[in-house]
Amino acid sequence: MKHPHLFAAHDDDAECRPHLPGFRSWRGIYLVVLVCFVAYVVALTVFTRVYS
Amino acid sequence: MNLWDYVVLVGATLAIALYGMWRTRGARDLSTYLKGDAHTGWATIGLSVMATQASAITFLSTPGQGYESGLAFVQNYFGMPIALILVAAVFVPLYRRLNVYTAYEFLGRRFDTKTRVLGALLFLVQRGLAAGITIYAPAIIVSTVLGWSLTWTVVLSGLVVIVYTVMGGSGAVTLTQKHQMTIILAGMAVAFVILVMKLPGHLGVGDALHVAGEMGRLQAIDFSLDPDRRYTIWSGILGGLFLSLSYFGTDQSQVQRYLAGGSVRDSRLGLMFNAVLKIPMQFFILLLGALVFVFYQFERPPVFFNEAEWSRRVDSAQGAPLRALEERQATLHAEKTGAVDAWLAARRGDDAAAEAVAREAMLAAQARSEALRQEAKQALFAIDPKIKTKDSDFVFITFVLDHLPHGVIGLLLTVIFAAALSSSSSELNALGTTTAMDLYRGVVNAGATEAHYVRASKLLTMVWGVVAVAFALLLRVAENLIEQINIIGSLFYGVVLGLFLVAFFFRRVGGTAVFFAAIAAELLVLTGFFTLEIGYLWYNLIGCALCVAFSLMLHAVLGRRDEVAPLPGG
Repeated sequence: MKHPHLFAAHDDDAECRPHLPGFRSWRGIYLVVLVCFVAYVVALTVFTRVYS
Repeated sequence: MNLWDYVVLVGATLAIALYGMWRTRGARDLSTYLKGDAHTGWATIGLSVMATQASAITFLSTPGQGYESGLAFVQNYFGMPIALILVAAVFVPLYRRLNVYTAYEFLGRRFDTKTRVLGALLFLVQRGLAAGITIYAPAIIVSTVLGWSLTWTVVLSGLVVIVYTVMGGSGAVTLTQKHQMTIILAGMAVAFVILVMKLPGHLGVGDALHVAGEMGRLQAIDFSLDPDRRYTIWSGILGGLFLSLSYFGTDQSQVQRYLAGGSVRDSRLGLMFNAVLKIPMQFFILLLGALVFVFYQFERPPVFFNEAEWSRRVDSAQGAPLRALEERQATLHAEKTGAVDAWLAARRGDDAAAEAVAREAMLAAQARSEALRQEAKQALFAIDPKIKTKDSDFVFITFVLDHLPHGVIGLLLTVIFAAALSSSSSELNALGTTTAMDLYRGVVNAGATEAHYVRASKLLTMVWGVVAVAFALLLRVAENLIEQINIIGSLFYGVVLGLFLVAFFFRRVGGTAVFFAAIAAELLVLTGFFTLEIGYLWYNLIGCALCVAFSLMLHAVLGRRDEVAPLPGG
C-alpha cells in the first residue's frame, strides 16, 4: 500500500526550485556537485603522480 | 600561553555563546525552539552542518594523521558528495513535507510507534555515549599540553555548551555554529599561512611539497584493490557513501541542522555546500599536517609529541635511557636536515644519478629517525605499560604552542574549543529533542501544550548535558573506552539506516515486518561481533543489509498482516 502524500513528486513546487542563476532544476545542481567531485579526484590523482 | 591568548580564547568563546543566547532569547514556541528561525539561510545551514561534523578531534587528529601517514585519509570522504545528493533528493523533501521534528518521527508516520521508538532508542544509545567523548577527547589533549586540570576543562566546556543549548535551543546552536565555523576556517587558514612563512628561506612551497612527497606524505589517491590497504579510493567511495548516508540521513544531530531552514531549497543548498567543500577542507587540513612534517625536517621536533608525558618520565629515576635517546635524536636530526638539503641541491642540478644517491641518503636518514621514534615509544612503554604511545594527536597542538606567535595561539585554541562546543551542542540538542518528542510526547504524554514540551525539551537537554559531562569525567579512568564507543556506533548505525532504506524504497513493507527485522538484524550483528573476527566498520553494511533483507522476507510471510498504517489525514 502506498502513501501518495508521502512519496509524491515534489520538485515542481515553487518553494523547491533552486532559485540560483543558471539553474532551472535540482538535477543541474546535483550534476555540478558530481562534476566537482570528479574534478577533485582527477586533481588529487595528478597531485599524487606529481609529488609521490 | 600568555594573557593575550587567554583573552582571545575566553573572549571569543564566551562572546559567541552569549550572542547566540541573546539572539534567540524569544524562542518560546515549540517549532522555533526545536527547529530554529524559519528564515535561516542555506549558507548558515551549510556552516552548521559542517560544524556538527567537524569535532575538535578533527582539528587535532587530522593534521597529526597528515604528519604521520600523509593525505590518504582524504579518500574516506569520497562517498560524501554522492550521499549528500541522495539525502537532498530523497530524505529532505519527505522530512519537510511531513514537518517532522526528528528523523524517527518520520519512521512513526511511515510505519508505527514501536518502529519510531526503536529508531529513537538506537540513536540515543550511540549518540548519548558519543556526546561524552566529544567533550572528553579535546579536553584530555588540551589539559595535558597546557597543564590544566582535566576535570575543570571538562566541567567548564560542558557548562558553557549546556547553558546556551538549553537556553536558546536549535536556533542558538545554528547561530553559534555559524560563527564558530567561521573562526575555525579563519584560524586554520592563518595557521596554514604562518606555517608556509616559517619554512626555511631557501625552501619554496614547491620544494616543500617535493620533500613531503619523497617522504611518502602526499599520496592522496590509491587505486589499489588490496583489501588490506586501510584507505583506497574504492573503500572511500563505497564505505564513505554508506557511512555518510547513515550519518546525514538518519542521525538526528545532522537532520536537525538541515531542517533548521525555512524551505526545502535552504536545506538542500546547505547540504550541497558541504558536498562541494568538505573534500577540499579535509585535504587542506591533511596538507597542513604534511607541511608540519616538512617543517620538522629543518626544526628539531620533540622525540615524543606528548611532551608533558615525556618530560615527566625523563625527569624520573628511570629517565636515563630517554635522555640517551634525546641525544641520539639530536645527532640524527642534524644528519637528516643535511641529507634533505643535499637532495634539494641535487634536484636543482641536472645530474640524475647524484639526485638518486642523495634521495637514498635522505630516505635512509628518515628511516633512522622513524626507528628512533619507535624506540622511544618502546622505552616509554617499558617504563609504564599504561602510557598511550600514540602521539600523533599532539603533533599539531605542539607545533601551535611551540612555533606560532601569541594571539594566534589563542586563536588556534579557540578553534579547538569552538569545534568541541559546536559538535557537542548539536549532539545535546538532538538528544534532548529525540527524547522529548519521540519518547515523551510520542509514548508517555501526547496531549500536553507546546509550552509544556518546550520545558520538557529544555530539561531533557540539560539532563543529557549532565550525563555527557559525567561520562567524560568517568572516561578519565578508562581511556580505552574511546575505541569501544566507536565500535558501539558501528554496531547500531547499519540497522538504523536499514530502517530508513526500507521506509523510502520498499513502500509496501509495514511496521510489523521492519520492527522485528530490525531487532533480528541487531541481535545478529551483536552475535557476530562477539563471535566472529570481522573489522567493526563492516557491521554498518551487515546491519543494514540484514535489516532490509529480513524486512522483505517477513513482509512476504506476513502478507496482509503487515499492512501499512494510514497516515494521519492521508
